[in-house]
Amino acid sequence: MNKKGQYEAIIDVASMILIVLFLIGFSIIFIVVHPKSEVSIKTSADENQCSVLLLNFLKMNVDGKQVADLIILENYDVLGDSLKRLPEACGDDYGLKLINADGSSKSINANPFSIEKSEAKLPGKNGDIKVVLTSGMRDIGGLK
Amino acid sequence: MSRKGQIIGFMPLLAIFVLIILSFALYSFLVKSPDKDIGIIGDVQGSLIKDDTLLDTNLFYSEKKAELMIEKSLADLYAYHGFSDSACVVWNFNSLCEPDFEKSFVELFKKNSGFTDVKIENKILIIKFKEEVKKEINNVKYTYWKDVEIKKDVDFSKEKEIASKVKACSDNDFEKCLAGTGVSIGKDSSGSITFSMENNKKQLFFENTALEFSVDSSTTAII
Repeated sequence: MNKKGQYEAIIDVASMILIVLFLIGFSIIFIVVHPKSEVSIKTSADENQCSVLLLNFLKMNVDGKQVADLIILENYDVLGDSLKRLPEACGDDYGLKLINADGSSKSINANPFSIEKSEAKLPGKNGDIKVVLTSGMRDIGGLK
Repeated sequence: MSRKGQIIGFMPLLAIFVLIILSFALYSFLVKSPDKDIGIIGDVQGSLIKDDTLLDTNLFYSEKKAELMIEKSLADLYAYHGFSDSACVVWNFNSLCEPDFEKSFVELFKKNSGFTDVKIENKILIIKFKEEVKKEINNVKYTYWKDVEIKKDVDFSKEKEIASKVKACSDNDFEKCLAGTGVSIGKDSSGSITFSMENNKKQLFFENTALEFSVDSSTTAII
């Protein structure tokens, strides 16, 4: 084999090694970095469930008055107990956050660790009231 | 084929070709559309259900707003002595200041609530509006709407009866004309005759206020 032949052989072997390295490298990237081979099934069912729960809660009657009316009338005393009647579909230990148009707010059975599940709007005497249904995590921080 | 004049051999060319192909694949799968390979099942249907709940929630809000604003508009109507604004104070029949309770109430309700298609028919307040959601998901465009009609009882027959009795009253004998209607008749500091009728409407959100009015007696008993 002459010198040129040796040179070409080295180039061919180096190229083969490069090809193998490329294949290994890209395989690692696809397998490790891009593991989205499974099909992700997405539904809005959970979110909808909490919205339906909140709406039904606002329509619920307590002591002859609708919960929504109790919120508008700022009659908060019976609201806390009525929260216990909610099914545990969005978690447990429900609470309410009521945010008035002027930014002032009132929490009923809700704590800083609660998760906001769904929200609705009610008209108030001084502007709209945002009603947020919260749930769970009352054991954290020994707040119970 | 002779290898004379060949700048790069087969294997280096193959290596470059493999590199290009793999780079393109990497770009297509990871950089250009990393999420396109996620199968989304029932996204449009889920969104429709979500919008249906949203429209129901909005509808409930609108119903509550209507109830609240009916009471506020009643309170305003009584505060304005049966008129829709403060332009008229004294009941002056056969003029612009002749009270028309239903018309004034509808005007006040439209102003307070923001609803535009409002009318009273047979003692029922009818509010019509459209709730609508427009969306585009995964190249699917949809418009979801509900035509809504809210009906609430509003009865001004008592007020109308009093107004017609006052209007037809002759000799300014209002005590006799309004006997049995529950209207209190008195005199203010200037000596003018004043009338007061208790609010007979069921009210939840606003306190009851009495309808107080005075009448230009020169315009009564004119046929």
